[in-house]
Amino acid sequence: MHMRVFRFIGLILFFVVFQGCSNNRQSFGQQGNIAIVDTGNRTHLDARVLLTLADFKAFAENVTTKMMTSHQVRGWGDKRPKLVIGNIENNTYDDNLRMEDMSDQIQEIVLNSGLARLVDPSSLDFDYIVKISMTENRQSNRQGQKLVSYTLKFIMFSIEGDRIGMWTDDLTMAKAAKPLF
Amino acid sequence: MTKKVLQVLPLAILFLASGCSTQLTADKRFVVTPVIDNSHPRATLVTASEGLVGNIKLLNPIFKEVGRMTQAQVRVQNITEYRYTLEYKFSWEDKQGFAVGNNNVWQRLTLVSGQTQSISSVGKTPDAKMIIFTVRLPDDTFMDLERREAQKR
Repeated sequence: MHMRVFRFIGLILFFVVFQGCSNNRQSFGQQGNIAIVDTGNRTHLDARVLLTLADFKAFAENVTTKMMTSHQVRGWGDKRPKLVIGNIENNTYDDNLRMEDMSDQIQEIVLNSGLARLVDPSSLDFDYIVKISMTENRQSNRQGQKLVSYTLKFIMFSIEGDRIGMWTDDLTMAKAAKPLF
Repeated sequence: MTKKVLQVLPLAILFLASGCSTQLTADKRFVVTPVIDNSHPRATLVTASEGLVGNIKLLNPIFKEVGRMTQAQVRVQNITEYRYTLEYKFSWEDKQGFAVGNNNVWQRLTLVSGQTQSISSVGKTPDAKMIIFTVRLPDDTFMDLERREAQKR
C-alpha cells in the first residue's frame, strides 16, 4: 500500500518539476497589430523589388569595410587626410531611391572610424575624393520571376586626379511567385 | 523498504528541483549553452537557430590589425548534405565588453553540402576588439507571425 502511495507521489512530483522546466518556445514582445522590429532585419514586403534601409546599411557596411581594409587606406595610419565623400550617382531604374540615406550611412561609418577628416563636397581643400555610384541590372521572365542586382561602387581619386582605388559590393534579390523562405 | 523509499525520496526531489534552480549570473559575460561557443578569448560564436546546432559549424575565429582597426574572420561550414540559406551578423565590443558601432545588419549566405566559407568584418572604431558572431535561419517579424498563425491552426 505504502509503495503505491510513494510511487504515485513520486510520479506527480516528477511531472510537476519537469513541467516547470519545460520551454514552450514562445516568443514575446508583440503589441496589438504593431511591433517595433529589429532594424537589422532584411524584411522585404513590397511586391516590387526595392531596397530597404537595412539594405542601405549593408551596402554602406560592406563597401566601407573593403575600403578601410585596402592597402591604400591602411597606409594612411594616423595621418587622417581630408576626405570628400561625393554625392551618390543613381544609375538605377528607380529615380525614387533615397541616395542621401545611403550617403549618410557611409559618412557615419567613416566619421566614427576616425580614419579621415570628412570635408564638404563643396570644399576645394581636400586630399582624396570618393566618387560613389549605384547601378542596377534586371532580368525577368513570363512567369513573373525577377532577378534584380544592385551594385554600389566607390572610386577614390587623389587631388591630382590619380585613381587610388575602387571597391564594389553587390546585392541580388530574387522575386518568386511564392515566398522563398 | 518503506524506510528506504523515504530516505531516497527527498534526495530525488532535490535532484529534480536543482534542474530548475536559478543561478546568479551578473558577473558572467555569457551563460554557456549548447548554442554558444566562447572558447576563444575574443570571439563568441552563436548558432541561433535550433535546427542549425550540429549541422552548421562555426570555426577558427582569427583577428588582425588593419591600420587603426581590427579585422575578424570566422569560418562557417555546412557539414550536412543539404543546402542552407543563412543569415549572419557581427557585433563588435571593446576590451571591456561595451558594445561599439551597433550599425550592423543581418547578411545572407548560402552554403551547399560540405561547403566552407570565410566571413570577415572590420570593427568600425579603433576601440572595437572583440566579436559576437551570430548565425541563424532567415527570420523577421512577419515570418514569426506566420509561424504563430500556423501553430494556432
